[in-house]
Formats: sequence, C-alpha cells, structure tokens
Amino acid sequence: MKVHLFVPCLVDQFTPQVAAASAKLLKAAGHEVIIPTNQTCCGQPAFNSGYWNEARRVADHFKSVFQGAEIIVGPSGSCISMVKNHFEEVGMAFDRSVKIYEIVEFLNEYGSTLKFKPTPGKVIFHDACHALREMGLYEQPRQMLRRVPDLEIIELDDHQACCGFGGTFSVKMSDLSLDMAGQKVNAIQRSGADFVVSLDGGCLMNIQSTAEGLGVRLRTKHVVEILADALLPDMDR
Amino acid sequence: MDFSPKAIKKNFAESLRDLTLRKNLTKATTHTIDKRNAIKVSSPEWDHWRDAGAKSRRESLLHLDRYLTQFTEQFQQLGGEVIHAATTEEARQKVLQIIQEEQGRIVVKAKSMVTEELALATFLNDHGIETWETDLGEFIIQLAGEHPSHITAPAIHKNRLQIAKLLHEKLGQPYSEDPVVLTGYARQFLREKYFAADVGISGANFIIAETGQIILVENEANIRLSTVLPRVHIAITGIEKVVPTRIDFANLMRLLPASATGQKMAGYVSALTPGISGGPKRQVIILLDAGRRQMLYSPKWEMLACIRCGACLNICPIFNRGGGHAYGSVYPGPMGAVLTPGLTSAHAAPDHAFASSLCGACVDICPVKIPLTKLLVQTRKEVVEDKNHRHLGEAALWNSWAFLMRHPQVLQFFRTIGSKLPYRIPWGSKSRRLPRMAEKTFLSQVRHGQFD
Repeated sequence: MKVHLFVPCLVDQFTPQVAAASAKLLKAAGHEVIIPTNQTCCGQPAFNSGYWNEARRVADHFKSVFQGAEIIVGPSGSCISMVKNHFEEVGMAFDRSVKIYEIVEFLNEYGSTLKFKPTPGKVIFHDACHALREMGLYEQPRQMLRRVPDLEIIELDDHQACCGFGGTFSVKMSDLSLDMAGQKVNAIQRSGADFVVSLDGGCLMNIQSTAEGLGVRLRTKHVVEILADALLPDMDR
Repeated sequence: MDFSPKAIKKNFAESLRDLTLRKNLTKATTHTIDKRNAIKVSSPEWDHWRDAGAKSRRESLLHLDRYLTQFTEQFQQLGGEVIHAATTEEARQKVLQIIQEEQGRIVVKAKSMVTEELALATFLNDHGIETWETDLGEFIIQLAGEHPSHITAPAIHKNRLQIAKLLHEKLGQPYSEDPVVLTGYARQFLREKYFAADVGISGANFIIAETGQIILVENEANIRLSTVLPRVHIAITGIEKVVPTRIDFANLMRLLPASATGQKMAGYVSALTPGISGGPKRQVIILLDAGRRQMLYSPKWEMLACIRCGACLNICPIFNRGGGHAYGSVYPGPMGAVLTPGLTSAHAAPDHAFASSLCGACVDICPVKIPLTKLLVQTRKEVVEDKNHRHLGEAALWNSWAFLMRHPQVLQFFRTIGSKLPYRIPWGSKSRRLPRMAEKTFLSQVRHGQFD
C-alpha cells in the first residue's frame, strides 16, 4: 500500500530514530513509503492550549503537505488523534476517504508479514492517554509486542494512569505534572523493566526527563524502535 | 486555602504538600472506584445503560422547555408551587420570603450542590433562621465551617480521627473514634432539629416531567426526614435536572449509585409527590437558571447532562492531588472545571480548564458520556479569546510558533541553533529538563537523501 509517513515534531526534533524505525518497518512490511519533507507539526499543542486560530494555520499547512495522501500513518497516538479527530473542530478535516492510523495500529493490521528475531528483555507498555482513549489502542500495541519472541511485557498496576505530560500542562501546572510523573517513574522503577515503551514520544520524554531529575536510571523507547530492532535481518530491505 | 476560583494555582501548590489530604483522598476515591468497577464488570448491560442514559439526558436538554412545562403542569396540578429563579440571588430571596411567610425559625437541609451555589445555609443563618445540614458529611463540614470538597462526599478530605476531634469539640460529647458512636452523636443532635423544624430544604437528583415528581437519592434517610417532617418543603434544583419519563429515571438509577458510591442501589430513593397525605402542607420547587441557559445555547451544552455522580472527581489524577477545596469553587474536578466558568464566565475562573492533563479518564468513566476533555479544551479556547484575560505575551508566542510551523526552512534554521545549546532547558522546573535536540532531524536526513 502507498503510505504517507507523518513525522510528529517532537519525534523529528528529539528522537529521529523513531521516524527511521517507522519507515523501516513500513518498508519491511511491503509498503511504499512517502515522506513529505516539508511537514512540521499537526497543530495539537496550540489546539489543546486554546489557540485554535494558530492550530488552524498549522493544520492548514499539514493538509497542503499531505495533499493527495490516501493513507497517513505516524508514530504518536495524540498527534494522530489530532489529525483524525480534532482537525474537524478547527474546520480542517481530511476527506473521509483518507485513512489515518497510528503506526503500530497500522502495522498490526497491515504488517502480518513482519518477522522478528528473539529479543530477550522486559518492557513495560505505558498506555499513552490519547492512544488509549481517543484512538482506542489497547490490544493492538500489545499484540505487536507479543510477536517479538522472548520479549516479556509487564503491566503496571496503574497502567492507565496519566504520566502527567499533557503538553503545555507540563509547563503551566508543572508541580502537578512533576508529581504525576514522579509517581509513574516510581512505579516503573519498582517493576524492574529494562525499557518503558509507549506510543507517544511526549509521555516518554516526560518519563525519561523526570527520572533523570530524580536520579532514577530508566530507558524509554517508542514501540516501533523495539520492533525495528527486532526485525529479522532478511526483512530489512 | 483561599475559596476563590482565581486562587486555584496557589491552592494546588498548598495541597501538593499536604500528605494527609492526599492519603485521605486517595484512600476514599480508590475504594469507591474499585466498587464501581466491580459493578460495571458484573453488569454485561452496562454499556447499554450508559448509552441509554447519555441519550436520555440529551433528549431532556434538546427539548428542555417542553419537559419543564410538562413538569410544571403536573406539579401544579398535584398542588405544588413552581417558582423560577434566574439567579442565585433571586433564589435566595425567594427561599427567605417563603420561610418568612411561614414564620419559620428552624430549617433542616438535605445535601444539595445547588444550595451550595446559593451558599444557602450561611445566608439563612445570617438572616436569623437556624439552619442545619442533616447529611452527615455536610453536618461535619458545617461544624468545621468549611465548604464541601466533593460533590457526593463533602467531607472526603477528612479522616476518622479528624472527624472524631471535631465532633468532640463542637458537640461537647465524649471523645470517640468509633464511626458508629460518631454517627450516633450527629443523629442525636439532628433528631431534635427535624421535629422542631418548620421548613425542610432539599435539592433534587431528578425531576420527572411525566409525573411531576421530585426524586431524591440518599443513604442516610436524612433527606426523607427533612422533606417529610416539616410542614413546608422547598426543593431547589437546576433546570437541567428534568427527565422525560419514569423509564428515563429508572435507567439513570442504574448508573447513578454505581458511579457515585459504587452501590448497585442507594439506601433510600424518594419520589416526592405534592399533595400526598402525611407529607408537607406546602410544597414548593424553585427551578434555578443561574447560568444554565447560557451554557445550553453554547458549544458546552452537553455539560448540562451531568447527573452529579462525582465519578469524574474520583478518577481524576488532578482532583486526587488537589482535593476539592483547591478549585476554590462549588464544583471541583473535571466537571467543575467546565461548569464553573460555564455558569459564570471564562474570566471568572480562567485557570480551571488548564488544571487538566486532558488524560480523558473522566470521559471514560462518565455514566452519561459527557466529552469532558473536549469541553475543557473548548473552555481553554474561550479563556484565550476572552478580551478581559488576554495574555498578550503568550498569544504572541503562539503566533510566532504558528509562523515557524508553516515555514520549515525557518524552523530548520532555529532548530540548528537550538541543537547547539550547551545546556538542557528547564522544563517547567529545574528538576526536569528537556532532552537535548537530536543533531540532525529525520526530515533533514531524508532531504539529504539518506533514506530512499
């Protein structure tokens, strides 16, 4: 299938390897990947902060960059939810014929040929709020991770509790945000996992940075990084 | 803590340091949520009930005037009096007027958030009418001289020891930490008041258009005593509480106790019908607007579907860290963050909607499917666009940001500078810093042909 890859701004600026892993997986699954290089952001930060005119301007840019796309996929539950669910609220909805997926959701449906090598390790899957509640992605990422042999997936007791990121919330209400993030970091630390994985770079950045501030050693990865690293060599074209 | 919506940031900072508060709150809310979840899991019909409840509440709102007229006709036909109040002040004056007409001296009150909007108990006491809260939690709050911190569990912020001390000091009873003994003290004190009271005041969980009945849901029977024993009963309710039929009410009762207290059914459910023998001689209902119509004709109209169960408070990570008082408003938590500015103005509670990470746990748990995160974002938009509350600096930043995001080359220029910063930028605090930017973005690598 012909797929346009959306690279969310945080991913591009801070964790470009997540975008590279996304492209690699899509190609390995046999899809034609188009990467528009003029893309920037979906406008979500402004939208959630109440600046809808600014969000509309950025969404307008997004739409012109992705004009003609039939399928848009990207590694972020919340950014994809912005494009899929909230563009409409700023008058920028894509035509219904354009299909929009979080990348792991897409691979779970259109990546059955992917083969993974045994990768021993323990990961915690952190349910990113918007991936879970706005995109309904609960089973899909877990199913994908279970396809990696020897990878153990640990569930936190309070795995659906927010990490406290919330975009500009983490700046506007930083004490609250840090308190929430600290609680999440402690729970992760107690679990003894090697990695925290999630579908949202924002959550992972927040968890990682809070852990560093608390002096807790902890590593975070997007689900696609785990999957791309575990791809069998002959899948990597 | 300052009980003003504008003090929310300062109040939260205070709450975050109060570990007793956190412990009291989380213990109580976790317990309620666990019980609620158990009911949901054991009820295969839950989603169906929830769909029906959501639909029924919206039906009421979409045809509000029709159902209010129907209710009024029924209620009046049965001998009840219907009064409309546009503002809380108007409602207070009407209540006072009725009590004075009846030469009432003592009032017993059921727990009601609408009467909190009116600050009614304080108002009546200030006017020389002895007024008692009869719900145990509210009674505790009244003795402590505080505001309720939760819409269904007013004293949720207090633990047993704090309550033991309070009742000992205020009622002069021997000190005890036994909940049964403590409840006994309140019962003993209030029992006399019920018999002496001239007027009973309550809210309403629902009012039924079809039958003209007032529905009250409780666990302590104090509402039954307050509404039936005195010769006059005044119910005060928001206009949005009307439901079309008994069927709608029956279905909502599957959702309300489960969501509020984790009970399949509440201890007492009263359907008050005016004119019934043995009931009060005079039955009045005050239908309060106080900002509700303004919300009804706004993008936030769905907020009025709320049945005041408080589940969104219990599940909210922010509410559990701040407690109800931190909001400085009658309604706290996610529903309060939408309702408070909604019933007044964006300007009156400019920070409420920002006290949320938009995690959406409230949307998941709401028994009538109110899209709370959507309404919170809508409220943020209204705050930002409010001319009285414009942060010009912030607006300019977003404007520049939007320019950058529409000009990838300019963005690339600035990010190159950003990636060379020798230190990591504090992220809302010095104890959390933004990670370093990647040396090269993925998109620039693609531009340079490093990916095919």
